[in-house]
Amino acid sequence: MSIFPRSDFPLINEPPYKPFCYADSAATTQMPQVVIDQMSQYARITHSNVHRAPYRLASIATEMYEQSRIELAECFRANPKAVVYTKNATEALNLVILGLAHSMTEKDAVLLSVAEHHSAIVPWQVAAQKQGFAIHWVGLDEQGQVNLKEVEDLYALHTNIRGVVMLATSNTTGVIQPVKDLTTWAKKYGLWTLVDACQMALDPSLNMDCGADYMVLSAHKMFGPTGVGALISTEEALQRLTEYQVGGGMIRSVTKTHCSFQPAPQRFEAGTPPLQAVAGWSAALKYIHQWDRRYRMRWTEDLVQHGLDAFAQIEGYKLLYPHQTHRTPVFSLIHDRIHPHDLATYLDHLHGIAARAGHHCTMPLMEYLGVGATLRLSFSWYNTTQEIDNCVAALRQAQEFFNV
Amino acid sequence: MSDELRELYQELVFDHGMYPRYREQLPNPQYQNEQFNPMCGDRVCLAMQCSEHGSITEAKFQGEGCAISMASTSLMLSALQNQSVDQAEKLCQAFFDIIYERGCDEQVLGKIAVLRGVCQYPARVKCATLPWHALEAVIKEHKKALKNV
Repeated sequence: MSIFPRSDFPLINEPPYKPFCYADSAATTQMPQVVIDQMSQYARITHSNVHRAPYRLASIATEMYEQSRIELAECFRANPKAVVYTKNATEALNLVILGLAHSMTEKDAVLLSVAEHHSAIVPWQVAAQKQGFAIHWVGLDEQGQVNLKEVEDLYALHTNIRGVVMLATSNTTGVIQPVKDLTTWAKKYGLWTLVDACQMALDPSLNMDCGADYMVLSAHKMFGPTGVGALISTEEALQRLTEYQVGGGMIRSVTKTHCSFQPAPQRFEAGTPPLQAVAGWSAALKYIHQWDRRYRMRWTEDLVQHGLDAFAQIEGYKLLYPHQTHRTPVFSLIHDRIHPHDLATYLDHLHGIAARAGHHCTMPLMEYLGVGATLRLSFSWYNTTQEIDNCVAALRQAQEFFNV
Repeated sequence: MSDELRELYQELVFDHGMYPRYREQLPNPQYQNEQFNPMCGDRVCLAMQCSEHGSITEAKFQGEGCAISMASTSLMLSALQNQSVDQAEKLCQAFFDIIYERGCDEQVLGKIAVLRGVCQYPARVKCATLPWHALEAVIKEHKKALKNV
């Protein structure tokens, strides 16, 4: 079994200060050297604006941009014509939600899970206020997964539900959701499905074969840079959406009284795209896909298994969903007497552990679980099981520091 | 590193952070202001009663949060009891002085000076200032009410 080459990641290999343990990969992952190099190379020898310009450098940049789209489509088994670059996953969600909500009325409804990230909730809320449609919420089962029985019951009560939104993996609990079961169910009733795949992008098992109509991704959650994300869809599903933004790059012609648009995906890509970030993302995809899927699954599973064994056992702490093994290496902890924010400050200043405390942009989930905030430790392939053990030791010592 | 962090988390901060004083409901308060830190979920709702002569007759709060925000709130409320609104304003200014590193007037601040180290932790400044923003708002409201009399 190959050991993951963590030295590929400069920030992990030569940390900005010592001791240092990066435990916030659910917020953003670090970048390997090849991604940094690719962006630098783009700036040095490729940079120019894409599409239309007659000179050769613009053709090289356009080729890079469109080839990257094809590669992204291949990684997620999608049609490149249905891959839209956005500035991040939030923009991709806004594109889908506002594009769908446009034709919805007070006669319609959507179904969201309580575990959704704010970026998949707030656009629906704003659109619902304007268009008058209803939002129904589905809860979780004892293992932190969306309750499919409840989905069916809700649909029986509200047959005006037009579509279902689901986070593929919770960024707060790490629990992997039954995406395939949900899309299969939704198809039976002709409902569209929107899947937020950001937290599951390293998992080789998730792609458009899951049957989703819309899937959103973010490069910086998969070893790529910030500033670029994507909506991955189907040509048919994209046709349902109205333009989210308009401007240059997406038009066919403009007169003083009229404008017409390019076909998808350009129709949804107004303005100059994040070219350098796209170049970086392309390198990140190649970096991930150079390894056999068995290795990729194994690296995640090792961290999950070790983390579950380690974090579930610390006296005084409660791990959210300690028996759920179908998850990513994301662990949310609560201490009965020490606030997560105090813990995060302690871990940072005394042990160099970069962890996050708060609601993780999932306030409805926090309310549903009856907790105000959690301490979240999230790991990726460049983390070691030794680092997890160090986190556990630090969490134990924290109790001494806080006199509890 | 341990000593530096201990400087922030002193015994007094633990005590007030774990067992905040004046966390009670004040029915029908004359002044009320709620502050919420959306980043971490800390919440402080300050309720106050003032006499027409400008003295604080009742000051309580409701809310929850980390040790720093709760200690800051509890120490603030302990200092506000039976004080005048003018003194509360001075206290508020002195507190923001330590936050913005403009000095630490221990005579005015008293025990609250224990929080002086928080400015070394930018990620925690919002926790410490939460109740003070509520106090600022209440003082402003009180002054406005006096003007309108």
